[in-house]
Amino acid sequence: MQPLDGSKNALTPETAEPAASDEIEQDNQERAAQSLAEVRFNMADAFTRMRQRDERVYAFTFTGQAGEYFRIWIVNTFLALITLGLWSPWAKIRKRQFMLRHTWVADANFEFHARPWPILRGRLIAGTLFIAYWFTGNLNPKYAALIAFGVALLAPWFVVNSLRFNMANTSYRNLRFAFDGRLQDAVVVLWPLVLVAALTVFFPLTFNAKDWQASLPGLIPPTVLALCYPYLTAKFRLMLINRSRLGNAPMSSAAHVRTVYGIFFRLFVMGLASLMALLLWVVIAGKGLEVIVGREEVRRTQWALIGIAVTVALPAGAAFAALSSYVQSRVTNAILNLTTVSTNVRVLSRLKMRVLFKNQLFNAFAIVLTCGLAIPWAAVRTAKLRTESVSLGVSGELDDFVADTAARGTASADAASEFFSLDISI
Amino acid sequence: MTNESPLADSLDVSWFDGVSSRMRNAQLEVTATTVRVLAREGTGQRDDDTIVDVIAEQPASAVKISTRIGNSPYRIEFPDGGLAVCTDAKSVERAFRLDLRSQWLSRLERASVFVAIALAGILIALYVGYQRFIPAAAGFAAQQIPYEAERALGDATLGALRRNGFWYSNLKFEEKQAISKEFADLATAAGLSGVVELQFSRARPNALALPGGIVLVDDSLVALFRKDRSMLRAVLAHELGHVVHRDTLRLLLTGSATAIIVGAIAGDVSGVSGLMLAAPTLMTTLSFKRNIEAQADVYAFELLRKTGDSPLAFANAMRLMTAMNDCVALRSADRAVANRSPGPTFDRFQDDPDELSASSESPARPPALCFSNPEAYLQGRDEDFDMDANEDGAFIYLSTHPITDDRIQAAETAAVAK
Repeated sequence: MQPLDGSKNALTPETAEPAASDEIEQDNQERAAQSLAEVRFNMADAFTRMRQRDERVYAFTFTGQAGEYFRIWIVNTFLALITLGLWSPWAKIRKRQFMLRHTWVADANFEFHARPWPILRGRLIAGTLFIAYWFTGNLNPKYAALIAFGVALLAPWFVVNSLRFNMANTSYRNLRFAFDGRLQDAVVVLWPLVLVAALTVFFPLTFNAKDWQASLPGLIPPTVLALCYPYLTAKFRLMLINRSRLGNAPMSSAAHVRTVYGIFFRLFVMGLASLMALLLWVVIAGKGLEVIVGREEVRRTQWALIGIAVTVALPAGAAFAALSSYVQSRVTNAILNLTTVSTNVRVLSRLKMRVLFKNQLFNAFAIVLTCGLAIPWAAVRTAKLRTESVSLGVSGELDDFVADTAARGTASADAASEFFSLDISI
Repeated sequence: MTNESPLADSLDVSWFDGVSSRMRNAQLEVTATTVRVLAREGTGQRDDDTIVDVIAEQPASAVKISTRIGNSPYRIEFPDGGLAVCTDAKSVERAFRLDLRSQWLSRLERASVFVAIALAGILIALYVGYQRFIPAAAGFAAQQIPYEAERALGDATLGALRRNGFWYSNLKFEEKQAISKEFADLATAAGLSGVVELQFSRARPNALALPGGIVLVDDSLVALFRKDRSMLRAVLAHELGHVVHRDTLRLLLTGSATAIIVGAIAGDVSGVSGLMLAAPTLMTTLSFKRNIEAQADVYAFELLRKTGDSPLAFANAMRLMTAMNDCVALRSADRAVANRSPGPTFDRFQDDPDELSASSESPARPPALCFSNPEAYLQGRDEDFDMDANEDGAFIYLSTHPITDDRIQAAETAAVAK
């Protein structure tokens, strides 16, 4: 604040103090007005900006280096290849351990404890199912929909067991996470998959050039899936958070499914706009090429076709990257920003669409230019920016979480739960 | 730091008791026999801190030290559930006299030589996999599957084709019967009688082998080879080669296997980068398709010799099909030029390959010129094709059929070798 006239320069210390508090007051008011304006725009975002009293913010950091990960990635990928995939559980554990041990918040890092055998067993089961599905589905298209229906029916069981396995094998500050979700929770989340699979049995996707109306019912299942997709995305993440705990400190997210529907609606509108822009661009580029090179030349040479493919594929890829960055950042922020751990820790997520978009383009170019050698570099880069977009707002201390003593069962109970646990994430 | 014994190594660690989430700055004192954890309190600056108490003490053999992964911190686990995390990897290795050579995996990851070997190994494994292993495994798996298992897929494919452009044939019944008879003879010679089935349709001039032994041949191709049926037999023999080699199944299997491998390697990345990785899958599928065409050719030469025909018939068929394609291209170009200049416009359907009733022997419309005698139209127009001559070079990898000249040459060599 600049003084307006000389008289204000002669403020005594006694009057200076109220002036300073006025300034704070005004600052607070401005901030409140600002946040109110943002409430209308993005409620979750404004929520994170409102600093709470005696809250300390701990940012997540990622300390892994691309060079380190490159060695781990190359060696383990090589071992997995020459063992025909049998090494892949060990490779997965090692890579996950690298990622989690390098993920820090409030001076402590995470750890992944999984044993390779349940993962191997899970993968063998999933692999057998996949091969059975592949042969029946590919050789007899009539059965493909029925098998997909069967898989959809089993999905809740697989999902619950997989989440339980992965959460129970992750720890922070020497306390294990846990996922308490039950089969019925997963059924509530995944029922649209069963519905879509059942609809596919009755309305298979067909194409008929003579009678286009005959192929219309085949569009019902994909449409229903598209309509349910935001529900699946939101409910799955909410189930994961709301049924998980660290030690005995419960996690919960107050985010709404409708928020995610809003995000996907905007995605739909933007996707439609991008598609129109792309079509317009294709027409303009095609005409331009005909004018420059000549119509006959365009028809005859395949190079012109490739030129068109590049002028179409590049903008289409960029649009895809932009739209997926939009959804990823908005959904992540919407869910995480209303997430709390215990009563005194809240999660603050500031994932930016622009940053994700740039990252995707960088990674794509780097991977293509290096014939895939940049994959570990891209993985570390992505992990770093995603991790470091999150922080924890802690009121009081982070020290109050207690290990879940009930979970420390007997060794045989552990072994039994390990036998039935499996990991199906690829 | 006064109570530190001179023989002990001391490490700065974060201590977690495993009961609460509380973190304590601590100091680990490691001697040959015991490990002691001393809690520190103060500013966090090591020299200003004071040791307040001994939190844990265990025999050195009871503590478990994690393996080293890159430069990530070491975890030192105590039997009662306590955990010390130390970011100073070198000090941990020195204090616990860790022999890194005993951790073979870390050792491999840290040895630049092995990383280079692994890198080369991945490239070699991928190359050998794509070139040899996957095709061989797919071929073996495909041979184990009975033809009947493929039949449903074949019927479904045929049904989809019949609904989308591959309309029912306009050929005369007698002609179809004669061709079916010759096809049955070929199939018997190939040991495929009872397995294969010939179907006719109207579509772009082509012959296809569908899963389950269905061979589909187009009216226009029949019209093209009407003068010399041995050429049609040569093409059918080629399609029987696809059936014997189980090529639809092999294609499905190799495509899926490649996709799984690419997916497993690229599992770390997603989004647009993931889409880009579809390129290697497409490339291998296309190159594999080129190989199976050449293999079907070789089979056809063998079968033709067995049934008393000559592989030369295949060479002639390829020549005539090339002439037909050239004829169609030239006629379209001519038509475009003619339609731009004043004067009568050309019938746009006259020799459009999509207007296939023109290729049949229906009384209303005789076969278009390009499907009955393409060479007549091409007479003396060689100079019009010079511009296309140098185009093949860049697209060899993307084209599925081996360059036609090579196939013709192979057929002629096979004919001589008889």
